[in-house]
Amino acid sequence: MNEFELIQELRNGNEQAFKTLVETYQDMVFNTAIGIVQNVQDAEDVAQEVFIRVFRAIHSFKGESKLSTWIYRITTSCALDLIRSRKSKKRFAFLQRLFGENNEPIYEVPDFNHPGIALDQKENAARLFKAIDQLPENQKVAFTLHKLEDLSYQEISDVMQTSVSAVESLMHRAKQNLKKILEKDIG
Amino acid sequence: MKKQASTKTDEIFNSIEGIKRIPAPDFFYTRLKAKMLARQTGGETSPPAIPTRRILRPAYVIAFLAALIVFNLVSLIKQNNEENVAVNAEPENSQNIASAYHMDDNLSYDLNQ
Repeated sequence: MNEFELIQELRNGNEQAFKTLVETYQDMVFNTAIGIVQNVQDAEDVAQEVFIRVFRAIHSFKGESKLSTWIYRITTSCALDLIRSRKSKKRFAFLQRLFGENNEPIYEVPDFNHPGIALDQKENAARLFKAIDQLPENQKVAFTLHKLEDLSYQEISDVMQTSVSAVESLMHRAKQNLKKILEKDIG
Repeated sequence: MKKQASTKTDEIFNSIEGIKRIPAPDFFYTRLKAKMLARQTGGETSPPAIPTRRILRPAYVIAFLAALIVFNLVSLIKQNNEENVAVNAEPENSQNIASAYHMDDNLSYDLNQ
């Protein structure tokens, strides 16, 4: 089944087509999500949400870009939504601590160990991921798609619906910011 | 020292070179279908159709509260000013009533004399 046929079958509500879609793209979606949200359980939740959105919105997919580009776009959007929701919960929990009777300490997320990193690089990679987490959203997305998903600047510009030069600028600023954060961390 | 830090930074930067793609969790499709079915039957709440999350962002909430406080202050000040005007206007009102009943020229006192 080629991409066009797959899309047609998905629009017809064909369950087998949906299963094919999930099996084809689940690793791509999961790995992109894990790079951005930096948590395996959250990445699975994001990946599920992505396919639900794809299923619901397949009729609005115009076919102007590749299916994978569209799915990457939904994945980064869902992942960023989760991060924003996490930050809101953290702020709310902090306010509750200030004004409420709940004196429990706020749970701090431990350093992220990506399962795909070699054992001897885990410590350094954890520091890098911590730094990536502090980047602005656009830089985080561009850096993750390029370094973890090996997408070219052209492909990233299609996903982010921006120009190649804008992606180059985002990557440059991301690297500069990461170096600053890491140098500060090293001391 | 600076060179050492730079080398360390490069080392950290390169730690994700050759990162392996990890497979999606086992039975991913099965769990996905279960989630979709739960949402269809109303067992699990789906994300809200109205973007309430955006409205509840701290910046919007604080701006709304600030606007509410300013509105209340302006109303209070305006109310105070109106009360002051009413108090000052009282003698004038009394004068108008007195003149309507011809009591402003103290005629009754003259008559009594």
